[in-house]
Amino acid sequence: MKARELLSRGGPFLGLVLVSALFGGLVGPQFFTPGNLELIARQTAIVGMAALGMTLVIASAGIDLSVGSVISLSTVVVALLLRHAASPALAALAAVAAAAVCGLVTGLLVTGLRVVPFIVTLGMMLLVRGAAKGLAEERRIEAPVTWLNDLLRTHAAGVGVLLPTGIWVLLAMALLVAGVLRYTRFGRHLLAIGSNERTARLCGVRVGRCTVAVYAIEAALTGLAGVMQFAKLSVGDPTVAVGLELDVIAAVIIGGGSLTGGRGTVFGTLVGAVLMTVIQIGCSQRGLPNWVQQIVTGGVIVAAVAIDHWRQRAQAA
Amino acid sequence: MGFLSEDRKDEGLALGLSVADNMTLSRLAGLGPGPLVLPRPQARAAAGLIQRLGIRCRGAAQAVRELSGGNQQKVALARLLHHDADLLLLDEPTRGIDVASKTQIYALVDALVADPGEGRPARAVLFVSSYFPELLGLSDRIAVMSSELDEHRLILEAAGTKGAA
Repeated sequence: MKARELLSRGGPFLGLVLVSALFGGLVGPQFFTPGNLELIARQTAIVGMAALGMTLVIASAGIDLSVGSVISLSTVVVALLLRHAASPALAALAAVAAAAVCGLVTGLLVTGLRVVPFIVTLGMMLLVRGAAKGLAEERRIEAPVTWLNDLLRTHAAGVGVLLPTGIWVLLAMALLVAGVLRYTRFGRHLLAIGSNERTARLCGVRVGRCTVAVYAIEAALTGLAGVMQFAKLSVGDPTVAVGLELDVIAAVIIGGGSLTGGRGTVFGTLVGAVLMTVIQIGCSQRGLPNWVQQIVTGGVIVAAVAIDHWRQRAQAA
Repeated sequence: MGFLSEDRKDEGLALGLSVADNMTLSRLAGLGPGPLVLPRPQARAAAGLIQRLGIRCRGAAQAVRELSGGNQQKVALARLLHHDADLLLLDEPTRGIDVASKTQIYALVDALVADPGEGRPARAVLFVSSYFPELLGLSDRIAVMSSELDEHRLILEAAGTKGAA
């Protein structure tokens, strides 16, 4: 029982250790230098940040396919405001707010029209992408250099304390989101909705309100991921992050989330996100072509879900 | 007012969640300051209910899915107790569960009505069942509803006939 419980809690982490050991062996000990670990963290930041919100949405048995589009909108908003001489903090805040509005609309459509989130967010994916392109007049938006550009710059360049500032932001948000999911009424309600919506409703959970709130919060976190994307690109790009939602969803699923809801942890999600980056960076440092990396990542996603199902069946029996 | 659904799996319980989560879902307030739900008070509340209802489980953290039907039903009933309802609507609470659990539920219902607890108003239980003997054993008053006679007409009312079946 103990061993199985350990496997159940630490499964994704165990996977991460195995995959890291594998690439450590393939690439050599330089794979674990502080500089390389920092590179992995920086590469994970954008997907990781968006995946924090996705963890909440998937815990409530929802899904959001508009993540990539919201990120691109967010980069465009930051760049436009910086060009109009707004302060960097204001620009970032506005980007998060714009993203949150997208999430609010998604949540209201899901609850108001009673259309499944898959369809609503599929629509929002195109809608928000279109809005981003329209806002940017289908061009990249150059922006003056500010401290926002340093968010994900390596510590070796002399910014941030020990780690790039963006990583600290990610860790702080991760702690916050984990706390909300585990230790608040809202978090318990999300898990209850995800596990059995009818029961949650009968127990007095305000399902509609929770749903709208969770999509707004998730989109705000995605907006923050967009600010990081801007930091990486240093321009506002309405065509960036196409399909990124799939990486985000994969991170949650590898981390133990279930698309049928009621499950998922922030720690697992972060492990899932890091795991995918390790595969990416490991393959490229080993000199393996991109197609190998994609096949390996795909295999890990399927394996993670398969192992999880097998474990649950074993537990039920 | 608390309602125990006859449809345990679809309406009554969130099977994937823990015993403690299911028991406390309808009244999470008071399990921590402000909007917080802290594990310790939640586990304490659940442990009390597990003992009071004689629920067989590994602990408050076990998923309800893994329990037997009778024990699942007792978890659902425990939620009503945690909610501290004055009026309990129990819809087929003994359907599809083992005899031992049935007996425990009868005893619990009896105790709830006979002794509401210190300084609290009396409780009422509306017990719906299609199994007549258990109604005879449990009820102070039985009403029979049938759609074959005039629309949902009350055709029998036995007042004050509590006694053994």
